Amino acid sequence: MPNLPPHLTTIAGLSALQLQTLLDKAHSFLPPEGRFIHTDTLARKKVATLFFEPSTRTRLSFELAAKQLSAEVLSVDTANSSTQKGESLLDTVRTLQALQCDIAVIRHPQSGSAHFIGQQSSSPIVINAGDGWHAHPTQTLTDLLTIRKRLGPDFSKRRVAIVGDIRHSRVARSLCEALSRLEVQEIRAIAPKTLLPPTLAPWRVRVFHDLETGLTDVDVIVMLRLQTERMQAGLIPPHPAYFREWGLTPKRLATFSSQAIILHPGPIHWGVEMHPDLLENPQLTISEQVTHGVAARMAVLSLWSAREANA
Amino acid sequence: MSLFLRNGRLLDPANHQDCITSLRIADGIVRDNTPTLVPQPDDLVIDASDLWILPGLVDLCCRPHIKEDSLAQELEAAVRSGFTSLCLPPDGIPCLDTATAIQALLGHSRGPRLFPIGALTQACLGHTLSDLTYLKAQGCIAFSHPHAPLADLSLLRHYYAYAASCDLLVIIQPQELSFAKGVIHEGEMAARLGLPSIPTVAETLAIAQHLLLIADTQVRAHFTCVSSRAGVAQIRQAKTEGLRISADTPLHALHLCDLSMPPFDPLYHVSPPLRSQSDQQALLEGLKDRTLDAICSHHIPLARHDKCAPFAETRPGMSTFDTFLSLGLQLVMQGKLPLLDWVAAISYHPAKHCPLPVGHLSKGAPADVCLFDPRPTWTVQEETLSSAGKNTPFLGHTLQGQVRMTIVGGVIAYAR
Repeated sequence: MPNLPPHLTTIAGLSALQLQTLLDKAHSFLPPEGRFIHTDTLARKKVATLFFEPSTRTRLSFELAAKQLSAEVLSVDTANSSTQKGESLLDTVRTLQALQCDIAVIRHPQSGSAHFIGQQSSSPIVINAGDGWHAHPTQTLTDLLTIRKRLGPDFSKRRVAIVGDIRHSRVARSLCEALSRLEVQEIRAIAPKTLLPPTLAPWRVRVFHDLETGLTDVDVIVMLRLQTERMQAGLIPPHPAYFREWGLTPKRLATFSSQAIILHPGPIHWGVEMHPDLLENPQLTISEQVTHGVAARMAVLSLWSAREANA
Repeated sequence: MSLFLRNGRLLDPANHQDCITSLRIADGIVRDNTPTLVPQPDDLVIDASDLWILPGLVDLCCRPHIKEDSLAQELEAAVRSGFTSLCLPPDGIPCLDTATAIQALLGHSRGPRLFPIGALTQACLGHTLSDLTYLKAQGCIAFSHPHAPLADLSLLRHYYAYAASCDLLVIIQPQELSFAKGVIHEGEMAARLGLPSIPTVAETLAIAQHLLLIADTQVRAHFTCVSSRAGVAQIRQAKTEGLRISADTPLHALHLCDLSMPPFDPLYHVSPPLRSQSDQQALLEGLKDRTLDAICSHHIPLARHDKCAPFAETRPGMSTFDTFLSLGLQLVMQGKLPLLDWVAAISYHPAKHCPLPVGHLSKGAPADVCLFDPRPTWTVQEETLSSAGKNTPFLGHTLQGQVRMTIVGGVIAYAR
């Protein structure tokens, strides 16, 4: 694929065509039935995962994706969750260079950290696994793949509602970028003002503060986790206020969006964002998202590795 | 030493002068200027043809003393950039709250005149009022309480009332500190990049609070580094109501806005943050209608490692001495600011409000002069910057105009 940026730090640098190509590639890695596809695309390549924030599913997903492509995987054990200063971040990356790592998958609590590392050198290739509030490109690819599989490849018809703590959500930002690029019919943000960014104008998003009005007639609902660890005090009242106003319940779903699919990047705070009775609801896509996540990450690792080989 | 500047274009806003003339300096003061003046036998004659004769630049807000041992090089960078008077806030190294600290600062004999802004409270902590009249006697021209949280507003009211009774100027950098966790203007760029942001109300809340205290105590006050349209409007209204206030804005805020920044480029990380295009426009309008009186450099020289981190972990600040005149000239050439207004904003007006006995070239005035050549172009490169701080987003830009000579008190402090 021509003109891929040297690193994947944000969705913002990708065109609609590149997004579609990534999705096609991810689709090709989806297991037909049963086990994940295994190839030797990254044989003799080293993929390091550096997670400066706690993560289970994303780290596992990347490591599995790399192994399915026959890469050697290094899980770097970083210090505890307190924010790392730029120097130690740089030192870690220099170590990876010395160890001749080809790809570094990085999650870090600072917005712009993946960009910063990518600026220091073209090697290793940086794949952003989530940086602060800024971006989570592979989660977006996962979500797009899920939407495509469930509702078909024509994104122009989609009406997508994103519900929750958008202000602090890298998942929401990257998704808004991608949905704008793909020119979906409508993007809605549903949240109290305190959980919205200063403006949503860059993505032409319609803002709703009322959940039920915002959910009416959408075909995709993306529920976000209430990011308690990033919220300053005073943005919302204590539980159960948020659930009462913005929690997705079976009744609300049946009344306002009975046909919509429901995505969630995980982990779900049951009883905060969503009623526990929704766990077995067929509109919920969380299991497929896990599978799609591995496929999306296989696509990213293989395409960026091929980009470097052709550069 | 006596100097004779021959046939330069004199730009002296205090005397409404924009003309080709010759200027004679002797014993540290301006002796005369007329087009027909002839040099005296002992005069050192300097051909100022095609050059501009400006009053030496007066800077109300800069931090060349932000790091230990940085001051000497930064003072050299200042004179090379045309500055002849620098007002230094109290929160550098050392804190300007003792006679020893002030004397150590004033002991720098080379370079521009230094005018300390004393700490309003001891160690800038906000708890205990400094001995203001004593510090004034040591050389402080104003007082400030930058950045650190204040104990409570009733104390601030007392401090201002005391300063008013001693007819002392208070300098305020208006930013409500409870918003201090932000690193970028609350606008489109913050939304895109997911960076914690500083809303305009962080500035306007502080300005409103201070204006009420200023009216209540009748203290003379100067607002430095105003950044927003709403802030300019507040100051305009307050001046209309007769408050004795003045204000400035940093030069980079007239050139750059939040959308100027390439994503996460730490060279654009400043405090107060670069605001919107509309705010930028309002700052220019404020200069033109004299709501804003002056342009400051807000020069903060930082080391490479201060800017080598993810954006929010970098230190805010921009190195601005070296590019100050050229970027100001650019505003004039783009028609954004009339020439004499610009010169006034960087010399006469900042001096007038303190007051300082500089900033103009009247007969008998201290001979602080900047000889400026508006013609040559030059490229901003790390190697050619005089300041130790290479933290400027204008690296690689081609600018116009260079300082040929800087004269402080009738003595040549710098000659190209």
